[in-house]
Amino acid sequence: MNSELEKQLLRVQKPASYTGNEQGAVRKDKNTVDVRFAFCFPDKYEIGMSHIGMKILYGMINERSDAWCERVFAPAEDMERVMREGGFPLFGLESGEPVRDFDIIGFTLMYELCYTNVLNMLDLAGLPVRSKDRPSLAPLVVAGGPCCCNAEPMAEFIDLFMLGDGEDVMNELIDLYKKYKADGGSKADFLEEASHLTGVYVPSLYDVAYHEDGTIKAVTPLKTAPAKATKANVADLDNVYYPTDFVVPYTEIVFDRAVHEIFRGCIRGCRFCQAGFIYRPIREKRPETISEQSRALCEATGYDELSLCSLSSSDYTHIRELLNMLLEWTEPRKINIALPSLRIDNFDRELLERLSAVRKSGLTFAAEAGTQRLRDVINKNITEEEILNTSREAFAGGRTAVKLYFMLGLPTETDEDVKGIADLAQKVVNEFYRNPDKPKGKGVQVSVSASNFVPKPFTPFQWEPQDAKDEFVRKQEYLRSCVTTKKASVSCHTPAVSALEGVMARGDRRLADAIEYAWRSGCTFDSWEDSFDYEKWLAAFAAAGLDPAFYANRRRDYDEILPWDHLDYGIDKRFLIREAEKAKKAKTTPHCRVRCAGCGANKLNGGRCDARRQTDF
Amino acid sequence: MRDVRLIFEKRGLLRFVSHLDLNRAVLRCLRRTDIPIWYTEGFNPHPYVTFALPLPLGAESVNDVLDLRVVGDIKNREIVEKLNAVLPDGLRITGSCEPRAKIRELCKAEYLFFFSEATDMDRVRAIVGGGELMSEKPGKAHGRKVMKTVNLLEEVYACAYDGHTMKLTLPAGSVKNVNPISLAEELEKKDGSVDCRLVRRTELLTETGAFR
Ligand code: SF4
Repeated sequence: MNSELEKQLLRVQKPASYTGNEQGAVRKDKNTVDVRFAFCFPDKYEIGMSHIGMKILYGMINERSDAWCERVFAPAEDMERVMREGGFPLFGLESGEPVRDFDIIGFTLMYELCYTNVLNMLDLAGLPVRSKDRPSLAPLVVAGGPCCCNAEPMAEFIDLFMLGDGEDVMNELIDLYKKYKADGGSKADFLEEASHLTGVYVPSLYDVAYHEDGTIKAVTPLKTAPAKATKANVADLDNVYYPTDFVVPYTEIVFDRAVHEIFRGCIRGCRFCQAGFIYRPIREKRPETISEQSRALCEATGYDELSLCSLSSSDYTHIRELLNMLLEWTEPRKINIALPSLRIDNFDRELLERLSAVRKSGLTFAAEAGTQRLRDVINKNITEEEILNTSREAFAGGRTAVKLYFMLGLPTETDEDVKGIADLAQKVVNEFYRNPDKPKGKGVQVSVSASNFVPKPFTPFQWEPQDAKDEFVRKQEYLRSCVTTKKASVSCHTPAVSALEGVMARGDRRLADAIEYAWRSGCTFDSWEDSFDYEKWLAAFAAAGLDPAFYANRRRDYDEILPWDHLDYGIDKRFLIREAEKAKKAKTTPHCRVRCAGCGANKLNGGRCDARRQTDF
Repeated sequence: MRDVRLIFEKRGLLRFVSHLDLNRAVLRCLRRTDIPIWYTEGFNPHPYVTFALPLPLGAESVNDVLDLRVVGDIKNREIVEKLNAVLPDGLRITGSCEPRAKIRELCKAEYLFFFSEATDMDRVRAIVGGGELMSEKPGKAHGRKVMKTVNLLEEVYACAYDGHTMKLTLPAGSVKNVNPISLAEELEKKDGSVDCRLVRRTELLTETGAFR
């Protein structure tokens, strides 16, 4: 690192998040590698370092002897000031060298509200933000992550998107880049050839025409680009790369622990949940593989907590077997096992006891909606009875805190459904006081957390209008007025933030002007309450001549061409329409283990989908 | 069960790692070895590791001290080897001994201040020789948080110069502690030419000699 910058580090918070000397950080001799990759996470260090995708790809790229991957995070406001004042360009943490001299700059887009940070980081690197203003092959600016399933709002800035599982396409992409670099090939030729790789989407190779009313008339592939860009799919999680070491930070981050992904995809089919669809088909990892790999990981890192991650941990077929296998070596080593996203409708008491022998966490339910009718609409397979039964048992076991998660603004929602949230919270409170074994001298605390529903691409609700900002405000106020007990507290998300997310989620490439305008007028860290500035965003939309309501609050017809229709995530549109129609009738769809709903994603994996138990085949 | 005193150094970019973060890093490194560490009893067992004196963020140290409680008959030399094999760049165990001095006996520390070539050392000598360099720091009065003004040069036990390097022995420990980073910053504020590039704590001291 530049010694002048080193001196300035004492002026900023958490200087150790800029030094890149953590345990497990990979250093290489730059003269021995062909491709230098800057893995950029467009948020602060403590957020980005908690992200498993980055850990996987960082390890995978660095396994290659011809490539060196470094980490880059969005500098916090104080560090940005130091960098801009001192003329220090954005640098890779490991080498301390400017990322503008790297070969590939890869952003991971985890949430829509990081877009201005992407622009800001490109600018801090000393690069033009628009793809067309960067004519040379290097640095190539790519992006991956879930937001790429509707990459259009970022289409003008990013040269190439990586759709789907990064492990599957990353090496092919680096190989191809290496070839073009060696031959002195042009960026245009490279992009055209890259567009033929499964999992690559080159936005500049698609021409978008619009109708008078602003909807899309046609998306036409240019040159030899395929009509549809298909997401990459890892066929077999047992044989795909998984890191044996993590970069272990010095400063505290959000999730500071060993992580293991136990399966990909979700069998549930909750209709609001984008992750539940875009990570399909279901692919499970064998318990032996998970146990072996996570043991190596804990040994290499020294972590005393292992988190098993997936969209719904308890749906993992071999969960008992796995936990028994893990506990065998984690218990003597005093390693905690964390099982987030555990669903209660099939959770196992005895098992939970063994896990919570180490630490008792609060009880959490993602009920999502306040009434059974609305839960049926969204296909959230959880009943009031289950919530109350589990709460009762938990209270009997000495717990006194329950967290309930809901969404406001779900399709077909009425005030009765909003009131249902308060009623459910009240019933949980009542359950506590009805309990003869309740902990003596303690009260109960039920926390209700209400987020605002944002319709997302590749879900059955992708055609639905989002509630307007004021309607969210009204519903939040109404919800608060319905909660009469002091034992329940309500916390809500900021409607304006959700409104912006709603625009970005289903936006098209014309949004580029608004994003750039907003960034130039000072918007960064939009996902952080204290830096979010809705007024600036409204000004940006106005300046770009765009109406946010067109994107967020409009109902689309099934036959409208959607901005992401030329991206193939395996999910069949006819399946989504079937689900949308069932939702309108409040009809549920059984989860994938009961019956395959024909989502179509299995075609990405040669027809295979691990949702069905092995014995079913 | 016994305590072993490890002499270590923390250098380079590790000076940006805070005391608490260093503590966690050392615990993790211990977990990566098979050193038989002693765990506290109870609900949340943790190893017993104590640093003699926290190092302020931004300073390097050599001859720094931490105590570690182990069980079994592992030799000191083995502990040092095993730990050095896993410690990050910049952190290294340089020696070990039986703990002799008690932590509360620690009362002074010796520091090296490295100034840039551009620094007017005569000015530094004049300021330090003057015996007064005021600094504001958060403190407590009657249980409330207030800003306190302290003279960083109130007690200087020894002072020597070698070119652009200054060696100072200052109060350190739980009774009175002078932050050398604040001292460097205040010097820079006093005179525009002063540019302190590095501060290194070179020895922890008791009334009678090196803290061991
Ligand atoms: S292919 Fe069938 S079983 Fe597999 S995720 Fe899709 S709907 Fe579920």
